[in-house]
Amino acid sequence: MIEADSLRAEAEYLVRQLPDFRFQSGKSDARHAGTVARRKPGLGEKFWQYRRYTPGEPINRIDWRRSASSDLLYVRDSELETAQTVLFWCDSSAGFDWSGSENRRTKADEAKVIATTLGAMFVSSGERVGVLGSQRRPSFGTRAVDRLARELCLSNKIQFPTPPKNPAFIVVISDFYSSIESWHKRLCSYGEKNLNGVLLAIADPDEKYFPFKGRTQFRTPDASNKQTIGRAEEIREDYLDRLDNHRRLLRNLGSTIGWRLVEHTTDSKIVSGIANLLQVLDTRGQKY
Amino acid sequence: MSFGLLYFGMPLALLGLVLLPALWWILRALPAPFKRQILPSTALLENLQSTEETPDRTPWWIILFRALIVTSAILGLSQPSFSPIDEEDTSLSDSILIVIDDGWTSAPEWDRFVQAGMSQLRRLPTDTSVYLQSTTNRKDGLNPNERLSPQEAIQLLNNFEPVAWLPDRGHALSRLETANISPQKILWLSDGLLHDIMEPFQDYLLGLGSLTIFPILQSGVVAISDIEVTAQGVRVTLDRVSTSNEISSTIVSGLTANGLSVASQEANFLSADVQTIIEFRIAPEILNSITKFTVSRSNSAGLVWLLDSKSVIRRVGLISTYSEKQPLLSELYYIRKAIEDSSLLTSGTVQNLIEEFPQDVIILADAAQILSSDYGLIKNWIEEGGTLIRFAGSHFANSNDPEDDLTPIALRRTSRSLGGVLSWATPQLIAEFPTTSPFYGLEQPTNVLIKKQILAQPGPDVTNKTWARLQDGSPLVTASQLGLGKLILFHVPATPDWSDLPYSNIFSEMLRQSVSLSLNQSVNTDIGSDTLVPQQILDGFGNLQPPDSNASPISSAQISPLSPSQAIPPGFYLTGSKTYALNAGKGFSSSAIQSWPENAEIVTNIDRSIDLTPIFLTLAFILVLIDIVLALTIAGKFRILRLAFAFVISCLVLFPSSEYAYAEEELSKEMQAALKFRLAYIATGHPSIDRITEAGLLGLSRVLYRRSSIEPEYPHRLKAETDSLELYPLIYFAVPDNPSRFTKKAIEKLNRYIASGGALIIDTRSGRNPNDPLATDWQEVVNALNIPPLSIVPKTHVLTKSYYLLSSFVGRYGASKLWIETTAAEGAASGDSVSGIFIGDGDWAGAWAVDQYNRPLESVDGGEPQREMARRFGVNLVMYILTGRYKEDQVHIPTILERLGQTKDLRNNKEDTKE
Repeated sequence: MIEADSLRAEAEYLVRQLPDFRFQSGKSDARHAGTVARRKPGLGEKFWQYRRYTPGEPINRIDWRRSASSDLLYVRDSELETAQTVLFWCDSSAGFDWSGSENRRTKADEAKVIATTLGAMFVSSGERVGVLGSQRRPSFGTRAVDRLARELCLSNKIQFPTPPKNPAFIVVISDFYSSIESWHKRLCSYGEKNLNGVLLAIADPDEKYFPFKGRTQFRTPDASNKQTIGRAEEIREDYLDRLDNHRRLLRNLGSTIGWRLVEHTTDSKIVSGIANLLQVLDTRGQKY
Repeated sequence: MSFGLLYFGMPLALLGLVLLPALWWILRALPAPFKRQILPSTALLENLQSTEETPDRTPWWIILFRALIVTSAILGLSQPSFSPIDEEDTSLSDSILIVIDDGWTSAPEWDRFVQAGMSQLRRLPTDTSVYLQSTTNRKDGLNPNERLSPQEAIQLLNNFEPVAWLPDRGHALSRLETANISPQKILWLSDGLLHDIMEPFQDYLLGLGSLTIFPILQSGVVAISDIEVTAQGVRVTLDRVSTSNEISSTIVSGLTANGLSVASQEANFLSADVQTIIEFRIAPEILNSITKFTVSRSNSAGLVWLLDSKSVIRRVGLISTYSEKQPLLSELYYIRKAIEDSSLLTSGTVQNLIEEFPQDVIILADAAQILSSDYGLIKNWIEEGGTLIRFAGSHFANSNDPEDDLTPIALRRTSRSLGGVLSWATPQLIAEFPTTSPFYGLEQPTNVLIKKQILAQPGPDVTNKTWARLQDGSPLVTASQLGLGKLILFHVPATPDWSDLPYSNIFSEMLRQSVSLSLNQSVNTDIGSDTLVPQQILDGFGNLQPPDSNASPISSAQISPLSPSQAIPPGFYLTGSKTYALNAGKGFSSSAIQSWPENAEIVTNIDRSIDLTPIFLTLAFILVLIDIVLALTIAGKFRILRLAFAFVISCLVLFPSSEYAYAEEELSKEMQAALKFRLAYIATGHPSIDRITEAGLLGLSRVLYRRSSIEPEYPHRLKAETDSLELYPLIYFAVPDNPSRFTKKAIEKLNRYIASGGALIIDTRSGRNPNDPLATDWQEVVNALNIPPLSIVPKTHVLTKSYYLLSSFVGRYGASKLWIETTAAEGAASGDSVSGIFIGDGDWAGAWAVDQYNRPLESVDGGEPQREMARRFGVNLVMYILTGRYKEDQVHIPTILERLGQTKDLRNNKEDTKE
């Protein structure tokens, strides 16, 4: 189990190797990256409107230059800009916190590192980050990465939560080995809410290439499912077909709600995994 | 327990056969084993089946096969034996007497003896009374007074062992007579030798009842009956008994204390020989290491001859000279070197050596002074068999003692010089050794020059008495017989003053030869009246055992070497500091019984039963092997077998070279160090300290990499004892809290490292306790190092400006002090006096230490600014060590700049720095 501190340290180390990333709020929209304009007055950088000064407002809000050109006092309003909120969800099942070899990180640890790295990148471009289904509200600023890392490490068996009330971008990291039906049920409610997101499927090489031989009893780490196979090497092709099929179904499921599936294996470089994910985020909204 | 023809030694083991049905059940119930494998994506495997599943039932023939294995193993464990004699000997009577010869002569055939007795006993009805009688005189012998049941007798017989002395039939006879038993049948397990008495014993047994004799037909060597140690080697006398008229040969070996055979030779008996003598030519030093001679594959005490050390080693006395302070000038030094391997050396005065510690040989060096009163003493001693070896020399040449007639030939008491300014003659080589000389056979040296010698008076007997001569014919070594002893004179001293002889190997060989020719007096000298303490005792089979707890010291008067007995068993005894060996076979002379009484039944093979135990067990083992192969073949896993085989082979091939592989790995570390600059530290054995030091050096390396043109590789961890320190320009040593001293080797290497221009940084890490900065236990650790006078780094030292301008050398702690060599501190103008040693208390490594993400590991008193200063100190230190004092050359910069017309600016700068 990886610690929050080293999670944070490794994330920063990875961030340095990755290009800057900014959320695009939409291709046609060239507004200040990293923020989403809300088309109403509020805190922000861009000018929105001048309006009449209402008595009782702090005097320093008066735009004296505008006011000097007439008899009235005017206040300069800027357009409300709020940051994009990104929520992460890492699978915390026993099967996800597993690695086929001593030398490899568990899938869960890999997921946490990826989530924290993304979090650190988003925070530096001004977004809010948080953990999906957490009690804490998403936050921004340098402390946010720390908080994210800590919460990711804390996250105990959280059921897949219901969609948040506020709009957010969702990153779901899991191995997605539960049945397609269950994922359909989980993700549909997000689609209904019109939330955007991405699915990151992390697999162990053992799961991806099925290198087993001989008479073997396979079981899930929580021993909920046991399968005894006479000669494991014979069913390898079948297994790989099934895995492909499962992933395809998952991809289709994602595309019905506009989410894309990114795959990553724990024996490949974590930086390239993150880069793949970022590329998908970058082209989000485009037709594919 | 017996079933018809089968007899079971352990019938209870047969109960194991009950388990057979259980095996059937287990084999049927248990499915083939499988590997367990965790796989989170197991759900994907649902309803998948591989085409071939292992059959859920083991084939019937495998079960049958395995049942066969178990059955044969169980049968084997129950110790079955098959005996064709089926009927119980009911013809015999209700009492039987079994007489056993249990001396060492029976030991080779002891198993057959016991077998014969047992098979006889087994066939007896259980109500028979059995009497047992052993013929040796021993305390734990078998007593004919006891009436035993056959079962008890079997047990007694099973645990009975022969002893290391000979049977005493007279004693046995008297015991039989007092027991006064009247058995109907008598079985005599005889060793077939006559021993002390034969007829009366035999007659008595015949008189008791019907006599059956089971004799051993003694053949081959029976005993080593004597060993004689001579100057040339060892003569071993082997005996056999007269019945065996065949030609036989056997091998006799000399063994060292740890069982190593250092000499062995074949001994042959011709058809009628009863005795044969073989001679070993063994060098004295090898002979000294031999503790016993044995006949190969022997298992009897008579075939082992223990050699006590004193019969082998010549005791050589050296008459002390005045000065042995300068060894290379002392004669005794050369003499000692020449013969210390092959003899026991003692030094003392003449009286000491003759009266108190009797010697075989006395060596009288040239410089040794003998009181004129001692001449008589020495002369007597020689006449009684002593050997005196003398060396000539300048003292010898100058002395004119008329009483000194202890020379083999008449001499001219002046020395003759060969070569030199005032001489025509050139130094002479040694001529070929005369055929009459004991040195004949030694290689003639071609490079030994004799420059000076004592000459003999010409006379008729000079030629006969000369053992070695020069090429011009003048004698070099002469010898003569005097009484029983010998006088040997070397005409040169044992120092290299007069000749090259003492340097040469031939000197040692000549001296050894002379010593070995001496009479060995210790063989003749008796043991004296000392008590002998048993050290190791021979058992009947010829193995050395520690003595019994009740073995007691015996006085030498009791030892009569011809008859070892219960009271004085053969073995090694200790008397004073010498060992004394008593041998079982010594003086063995007994012949085989030629004719047996006519009315006795002679049986040569009583026990015709066949022991089936090994057959069954071997069968079970072979079946198991077949089963393994079968199982693997069925499972299609012959690959595994092949892999295992390949693994075993590769282990065999690789293991011998593992040391080499280790050396190669070391080499690569040295190569790394030699090719790339890197910092290094000495491992302290405290993991936490080593970790921080390594992290510190890593941190400093990174700082250097970023800020300067020094680009160090990853730091190395060193063991001062083994690694090549000289490859590292700088070695850091953080003293742990409870330091362990450096080993001697480490100290040597570190001293050499510092002396040859290395830099050792000793960080006492005691800065957190500033009151006691340099007086802690670390001093003990480094005390043995050659640490030159130290002083605190002066303010103007190069260290303060080798890269950064520094005013102090802070580490983790605010006030750190740094000591360097005084010469380097004073800025001595001469040469490049860079300090080789730095001792400080700042725990700099702690301040530099970073983790893999460059985060500092340890806190620093003054926070980040102080850590930065510590890093700067590190950079300065490495710069100073690598570049030396060249920055000090900057003292000339004012002059240079003045010429360039920039004096004013510089002066301002200089004042700034001072502030």
